Amino acid sequence: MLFKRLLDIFRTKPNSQTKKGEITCTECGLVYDNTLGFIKREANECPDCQYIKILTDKSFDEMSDGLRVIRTIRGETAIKAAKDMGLKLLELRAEVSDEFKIKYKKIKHRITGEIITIGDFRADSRYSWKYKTLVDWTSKNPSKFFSPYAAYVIPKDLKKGELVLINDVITNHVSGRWNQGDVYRLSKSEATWTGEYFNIDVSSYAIGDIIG
Amino acid sequence: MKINPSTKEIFTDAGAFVKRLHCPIHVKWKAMKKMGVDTRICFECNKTIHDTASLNDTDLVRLINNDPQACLRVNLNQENIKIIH
Repeated sequence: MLFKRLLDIFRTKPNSQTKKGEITCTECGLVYDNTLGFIKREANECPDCQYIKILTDKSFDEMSDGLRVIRTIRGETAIKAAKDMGLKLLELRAEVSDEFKIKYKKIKHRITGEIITIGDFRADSRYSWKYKTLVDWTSKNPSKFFSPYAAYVIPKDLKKGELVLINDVITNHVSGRWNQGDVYRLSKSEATWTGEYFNIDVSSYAIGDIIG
Repeated sequence: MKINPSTKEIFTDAGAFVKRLHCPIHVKWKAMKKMGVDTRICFECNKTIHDTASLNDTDLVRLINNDPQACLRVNLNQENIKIIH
């Protein structure tokens, strides 16, 4: 039944039928078989396929550190597939905040030609005379989402107040700030299900804790 | 509350030194067992760690005066902390 639903998704694209029992995703060449599930025939697969795989992967680790793991899916295709499968979803808009940034500088060894990227101002002076600057200190936002559509798959028996683990957080939270200006996005976190949304416990996986 | 991340020294907003944070065990906050809203237990040393996120300067000073060896947790993102160098 699951196969048939996913088949319908892939069938929207022309020439997706290969041989009997197999469907090829025209986006990434992923071949689907009704007895074996997804078979990766090419090195890369499109994000749509990756997130559909999250929905159907039987080896998905349901528990980690004693907590139930919540699946995150991204992209309209995976969300549509999840709805077709009758799964309960918490859909959220996925937009990376401009706040997040990491800095870097790219330098090249004057003799060997080796190119390295450094991220710490303190490392700069160590390389000063041996290296030529290719890209001077600049910042970039390392977080990018391929789609503005994302959702958490809510287990039907998830109880209000249950603590869970989210490996791919959709909303924007600062995971840590470095005094050199870098601001990191929280990608993984523990969270509590309120019955309507997840209350993200930023401290659970934040960087920048000092204990003593 | 103020902290110098380099020296790990914690001060009140008025600049009074409170404590130098030091933990040789390096247990992560998430690995500790929750005991209350603001406290966790370290499995390695069995001590209670107090989260400073909800403490004001008065509470913090009182806590350290009562137990100078009390363990604290400071997160650089918490709203009641200022980072100094």
